[in-house]
Amino acid sequence: MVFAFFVAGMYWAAKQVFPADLVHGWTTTAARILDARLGERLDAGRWEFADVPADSVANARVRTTQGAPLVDPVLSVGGMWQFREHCPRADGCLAVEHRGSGQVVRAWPFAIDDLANAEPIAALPFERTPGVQAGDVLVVDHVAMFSDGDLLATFRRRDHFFPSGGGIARIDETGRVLWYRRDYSHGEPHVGPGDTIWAPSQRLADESFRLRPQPMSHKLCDQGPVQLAVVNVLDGDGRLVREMSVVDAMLDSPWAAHVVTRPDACNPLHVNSASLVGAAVSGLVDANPGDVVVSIGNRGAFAVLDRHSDRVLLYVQGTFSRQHSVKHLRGSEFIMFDNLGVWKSSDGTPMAYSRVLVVDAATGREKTVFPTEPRRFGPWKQYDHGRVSVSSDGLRALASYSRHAKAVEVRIEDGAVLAEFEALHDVRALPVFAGGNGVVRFLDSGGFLYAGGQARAGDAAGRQGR
Amino acid sequence: MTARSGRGGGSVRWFLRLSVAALAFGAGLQAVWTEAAPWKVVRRGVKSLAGMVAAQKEGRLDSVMWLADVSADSIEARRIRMVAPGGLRDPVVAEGGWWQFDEHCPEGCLAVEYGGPVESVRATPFRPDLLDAARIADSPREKTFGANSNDEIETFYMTAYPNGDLLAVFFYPDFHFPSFAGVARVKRGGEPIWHRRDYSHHEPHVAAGDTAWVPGAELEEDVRLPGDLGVWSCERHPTYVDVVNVLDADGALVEQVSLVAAFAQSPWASVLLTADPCDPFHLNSVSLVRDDVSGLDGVRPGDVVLSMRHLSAVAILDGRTHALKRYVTGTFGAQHSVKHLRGSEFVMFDNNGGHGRRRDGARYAYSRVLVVDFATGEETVVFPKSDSERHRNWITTARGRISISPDGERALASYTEQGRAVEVRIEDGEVLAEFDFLHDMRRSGLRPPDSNVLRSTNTNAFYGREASR
Repeated sequence: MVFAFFVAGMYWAAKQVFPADLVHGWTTTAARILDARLGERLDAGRWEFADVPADSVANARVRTTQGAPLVDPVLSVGGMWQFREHCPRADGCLAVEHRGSGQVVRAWPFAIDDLANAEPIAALPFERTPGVQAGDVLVVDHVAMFSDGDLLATFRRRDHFFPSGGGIARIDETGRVLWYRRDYSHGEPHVGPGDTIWAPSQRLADESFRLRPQPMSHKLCDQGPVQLAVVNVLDGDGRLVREMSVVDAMLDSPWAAHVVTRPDACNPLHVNSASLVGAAVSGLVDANPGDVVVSIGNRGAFAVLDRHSDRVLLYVQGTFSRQHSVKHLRGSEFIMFDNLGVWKSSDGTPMAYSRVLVVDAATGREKTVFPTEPRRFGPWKQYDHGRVSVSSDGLRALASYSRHAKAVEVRIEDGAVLAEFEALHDVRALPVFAGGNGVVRFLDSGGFLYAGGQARAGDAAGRQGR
Repeated sequence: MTARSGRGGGSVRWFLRLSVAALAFGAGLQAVWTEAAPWKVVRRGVKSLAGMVAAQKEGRLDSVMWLADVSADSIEARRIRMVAPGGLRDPVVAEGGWWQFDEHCPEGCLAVEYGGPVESVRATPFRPDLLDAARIADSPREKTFGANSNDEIETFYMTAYPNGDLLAVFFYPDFHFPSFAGVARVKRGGEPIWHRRDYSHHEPHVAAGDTAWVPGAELEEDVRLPGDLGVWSCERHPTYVDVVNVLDADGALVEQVSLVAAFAQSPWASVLLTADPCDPFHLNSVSLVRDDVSGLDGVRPGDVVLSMRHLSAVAILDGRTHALKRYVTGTFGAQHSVKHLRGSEFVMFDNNGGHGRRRDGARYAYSRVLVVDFATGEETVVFPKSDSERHRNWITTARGRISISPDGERALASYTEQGRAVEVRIEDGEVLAEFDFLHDMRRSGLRPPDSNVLRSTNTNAFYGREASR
């Protein structure tokens, strides 16, 4: 009899006869709850102890070459438990602004409960592991700055939620949440003229959705709904002005095949940054200032979409892969954080590294800006995240290796390193970090960016060029 | 008191029995969800049993044939249709297989060649029973208990040697892993000269001196890539690590070209980092750069052109060093059969590149013949024309083949899964002839449901003299 029930169990599971799928869901959820061990393992892999004396953290965060002061103010993105000395009454700082030799001159407090409890102006449904609170797993993904100094922040959720995009919020210098859209926003947004926002997000296709039209209508994703990349255009108050469907734009473009073929049927594009073509554009037949640049991580490509019609004007591939943070630099050149470049050691062995790459979309020519010495920086590689911010004069770039809690400021012309940054934090007062030396690096930080510089990078480069 | 104890004991026993049953049932569920050993054995057993049942000829029809709503009497007229003058000037070979073209060969033809005049037919019988005797190499494989390898074999891709022999690549549609059934040189009389039952697959190329360039694969678990580029681990099966096998006229392996090595030493090494760990390249055609190449710095005659479906990309390797010289992407997707046409232009069968919207806004997709200038990136859709609604419904998501006529002015495009092919003028896309690979099943003794006529879904057509170009 025991054997008969065992076989019946296998049959139920193999054929997915009711209630096998239900039971499977319960057991999976229970396993996740156990695995989570709330408040403890949720943060595993998110940080590491740093061999830096706690008293010297402030000085170790920014190191400029030969002590020269920073030319432009730099924002260091924080979050829970980060920069607590500057935001003692909150959970940490959302970001701090460095100037001169690295001293912090401004800080934006971050209170996770304020965000988690904020009444969202838009709310989309999520699946989540029972018992896991949004605030437990919400991390700051990216930050951009409004013209008045408010910050625009996107969030993401570490595990236990689907989709993982954690929404987008405007937060003022006192830490007040001015608005919060609890939608599927994620990745690097852009604040443009008039505080208009371009934010990567997604729609979830329903069960009947098919990526391909007839007769190729088979369901491609068997792990849940297909994630369809969009860019939400918001006004400064967070209201949705319109949704640019990047998937639809691609399907209506000559590059439609790049949506329906591999590699990822569940998330065929994965737009991870949105920005605008600057005034200095030239040499590209269709692109105009204000058109929208999207980095399509899962295709190893970036595209330029017409700002009015959403039409795909340009689709560029190269030797870059899983790239993030694609920005128009000047003329027909774009700069990006290329997550997976490859360099050769002296004996020809291929080694993967992440790099800052400039690509001329007109000619396809590529130039690695950083690192010019892969032997020193080669171990810096990360499969996901990463950011490039261009200085207001278009001559320098900040490259954030967020999985290493590090960043460098480089001269774009020759890749010379002007400053190095490290996301170090004094956590001696926090029991959760007991057992170490009191200093940690956060390995999923939102990185570094020029304060107020990114929105006008292309324009400034154009002025410089003229 | 005793009675009450008895009832209580009975309840306990029933409770225990139910608990054990529930535990056994739960263990069964868990065995499947965790892919535990008992389930693996059971699954293989069930699969084998199903394979034995399905390994009947009738059960295999649908792997290579589809029902066609056509009268058996009209087959001959429909198979080849001249559409415009100038078509069918050169012999055209159509691939066959079991029960196909059986008016010419009792159990089916391996291929039939239609001469310039359509009436002239040269048939090559399909004789898989002779392959065993001609075998010169055999790679290990698994097969369903009871499956007969010779009965299961099907044609995959072919090309012709200058003397008329056929270079045929075979596959097993079911019951074998891997499904690759090797490559053979076959005389036009049907006798195989040699058969390598290795992991050859897709479209080969015959070059000068009868040297054959054949897409192949090595099967490897946990493929460790060079340097620190990582490991390919496929959960479903060993990774198909594609190679190009260079064979001499007698089928001996002269050289094996590693795609992994070529990519790892190239500027496009990052492709390896993001590739599908189960089938990273899906190499589907090999051909050579022609003597009239121009406008492509560093690309020389004899360099190797590779079409890779899973990358939606084309690569050019140096013919001698096998270094990766070019990596080309475009609007094409999951393409097959990429050939150098002239100068810096290449022609391909673009499986997924055709997309449009109908008047009601509904999207549709189609496969197309595309010419791409690798120097400029400029693309020209040769077929179907924008006003050809019927042809813009033709799509084949797998396979597909392009063959260039000896004078370089026409192309045969095979829409394999549609069972159709067209001959078009490359210059303007004008359709010169259409092929519809219909077969009368009445002679086969099989009883396909509802119709005596089936349309082949594994037939490609090619010019008999394409190898001489």
